[in-house]
Amino acid sequence: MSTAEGWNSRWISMLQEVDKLTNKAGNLSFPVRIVLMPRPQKVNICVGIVAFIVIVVISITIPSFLTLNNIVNIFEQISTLGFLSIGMTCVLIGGGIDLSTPSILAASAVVGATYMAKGGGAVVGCLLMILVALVFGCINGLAVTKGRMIPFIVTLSTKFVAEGFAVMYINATSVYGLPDSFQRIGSKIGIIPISIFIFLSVAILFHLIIRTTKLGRWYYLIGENENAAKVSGLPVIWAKFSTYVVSSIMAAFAAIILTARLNSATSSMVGETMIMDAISVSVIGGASLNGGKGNVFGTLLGVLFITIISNCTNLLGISYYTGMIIKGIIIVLVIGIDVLRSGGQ
Amino acid sequence: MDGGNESMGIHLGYRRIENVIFSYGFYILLILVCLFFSIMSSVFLSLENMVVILGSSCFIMLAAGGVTPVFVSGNMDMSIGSIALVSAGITALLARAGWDMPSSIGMALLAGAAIGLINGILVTFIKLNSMLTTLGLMIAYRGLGLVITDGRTIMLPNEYKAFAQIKILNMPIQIAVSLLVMVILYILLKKTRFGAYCYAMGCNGESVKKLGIPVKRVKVTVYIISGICAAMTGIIVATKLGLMRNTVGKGMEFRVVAAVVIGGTSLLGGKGNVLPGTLLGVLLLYVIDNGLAGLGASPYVYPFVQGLIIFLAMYMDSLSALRIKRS
Repeated sequence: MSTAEGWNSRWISMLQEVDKLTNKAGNLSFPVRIVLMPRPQKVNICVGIVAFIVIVVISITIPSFLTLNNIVNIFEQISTLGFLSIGMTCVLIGGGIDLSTPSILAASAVVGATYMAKGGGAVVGCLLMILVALVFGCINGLAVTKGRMIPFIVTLSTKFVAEGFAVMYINATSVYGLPDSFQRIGSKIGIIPISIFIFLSVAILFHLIIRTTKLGRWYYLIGENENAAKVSGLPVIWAKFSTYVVSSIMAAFAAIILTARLNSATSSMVGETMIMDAISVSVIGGASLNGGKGNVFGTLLGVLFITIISNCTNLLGISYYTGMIIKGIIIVLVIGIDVLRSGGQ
Repeated sequence: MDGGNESMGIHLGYRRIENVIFSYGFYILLILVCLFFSIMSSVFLSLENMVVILGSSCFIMLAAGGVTPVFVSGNMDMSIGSIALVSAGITALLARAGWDMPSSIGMALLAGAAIGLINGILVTFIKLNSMLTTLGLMIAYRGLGLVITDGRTIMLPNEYKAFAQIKILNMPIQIAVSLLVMVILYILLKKTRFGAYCYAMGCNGESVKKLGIPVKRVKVTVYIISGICAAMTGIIVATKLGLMRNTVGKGMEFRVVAAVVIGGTSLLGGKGNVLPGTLLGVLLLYVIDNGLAGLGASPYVYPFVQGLIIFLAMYMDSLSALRIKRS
C-alpha cells in the first residue's frame, strides 16, 4: 500500500469512527471532531516484553546486576539521556527532528554554571539555564515554522551555533565551584538520587500531556498529516513551534541535573554519540522519523534498555570500544525490527 | 515579501533585487565573506593563503565530494567520519606489521569500500532508513576503529611522511588528489548514465522503479563511492600528520553534511552538484576559519561564527527553495 493511500484510508476510517461517536453529542464543528478522534497510540507491548526478557536473562547471567548499588547507579545515569529523549520524542511525534539538544545542553549549562560560580544564586542560575535553552528552542521553532526550513538542516546549524557559543563563552575551559544549594540537586536522599524523582515526575507529566491533552493529540495529527491538520483548522504553526521549545527545555533540565551531579560544566559535557542515543531511544520506544508515532512511556523503556546495555558491558568487563560496536549493532537491529513492524501494517 | 503598499516601480525593482539575492544567495554570501576578510587583512587574498585554505579544507572536501552522490540519490550517509577512522587505523596497523605502502593503503581503501557495501546492502535490500542506520553504524564503526588500534596513537613509518610531502604541479599531493577526486565525481554525476540515474532516483523513487532503472545497484554503488572517499580522507589525514590518532574523523559527519547542504545539495535528493556546489560549500567553512585566524581573533570564536554563517547560508537556501516552489 502506498503511503498516500494508507494515510487517506486511515483518515477516512478515523473520521467515520468520529461520526459514530459524535452522533450522540449533536453537531460538533469539524476541529472538535478531529480532536475527539481516537488517538493513534499503542504502548509497545512487543518492546516491553523483549525488554523484560532481556532484563531477566541479564540478571541471571550477571549476578552483580541486580544489586541495590548497581540499580541506583543505573537510575543516576538515566536522567540526562531520559530528558533529551523525551524532548526528542515530542519533536519526532510532530514530524520533525532535533539534532541540537546536546549542544543546547552544553550552552545552557555553561552559562548557568558561570553565573553560579561567580556567586550567583542557585534559583537564578537554573532559570538562566532554562532561558538560554529557550532562546535556542525558539530559534529552532521559528526557523522551522515561519522560515519553513527543513528541521534536519535548522537544528544541524543551531547545533553548530550552540556548540560554538558554549566554547566561546568559557574559552574551552571548565567551570567549577558551584554553590552547595545547587549541588544538592545532584545528591541523594539516603540512597536514592534526587534527580530520578525530578526525571520521573517530568516524564509522567509529559506522558499525560501527550496522551490526554488536546496539545498531545495535535502533535500526532500534525505528524501524521500536516496538510490535513492545517485544513481542519488546528494551530499547526503554534503546536510545531512548541515541540521545539519543549525539546530545548528538556535539554535545560538535563543540563541542570548533569551540572549538579558533576559539579562542573564544560563545553563538551555530553559525548558525540548522545544525539544518536536520544534518537534511537525514541525509535526503540515506537517513534518514527516520518512523524505521528511514538510515546513517552515507550521512550522511557528505550532509555532503560540502552542504559542497561551499557551498564552490562561495563559489568562484564567488556571494553568501552567493544561496547560501542555492540550498541551500534543493537541500534541497527532495532531499526530493522521497526521496519518489519511497520511493513506488516 | 509582499510590498503591497509600495508604488509599482519600486516594487518591481525590489522584486528584482530579491530575485537575485535568493537565487544566488550562497554565492553572494561567500563573496561577501571573502570581501570582508580581504579588506580587513592584506594577506588573505595572496596565493600562499589560498593554498593554505585548500590544504586545510581538502580532507573534508574528499568526504563531502563522496557523500554528494548519496545525497543526490535521496539517501544519507552519516558514517563517513567513522569509516575514515577505521581506514586510518588499518593503514597504520598494516604499516607497522611491515606491509609496503601501496598495499596497506590499498587494503584501507578496500575496507572503506567494504563498509560502504555493508551500508548499501542494509539500506537497499533490508530497506532500513538510511539516516538512522548510518547514524547507528557510525557508533559501531567508531568502536571498531578504536578496537583494532586499542585507542592508542600509532606512528607511521617515514615513507608515509615523505609521501605526504610530494608536490604535483606545485601543489601538495593532498590538494591534488582531492581536486582530482572532485573532478572525477563531477564527471560521474553530470556526464554519465549512472549520474543521471542518481538524479532520477532522488527526484522520484517510485517512478524510477517503473522505468526499469537498476535502483538497487545504483544505491549500493553510491554508498561504496562514499565509503571509498571517506577512507581516502582517513588515509590522507593520517599520512599528513604522520601518525594515527583516535580523534580522526570525530564530528566530521555533521561538518560534511553542513558543507554539502550549503553547497546547494538538497537533503531530499534530486538536486545538487559536486563541482561548484560542494567545493564552495567546503571552502566557505574554511575561509571563515582562515579569515578569522588572519584577523587575530580568539580561536574559541571560530565555531560560533562558523555556526552563524552556516545558519545564514541554510536560511538563504531554504528561501530560494521556497521561491522555486511558489513560482
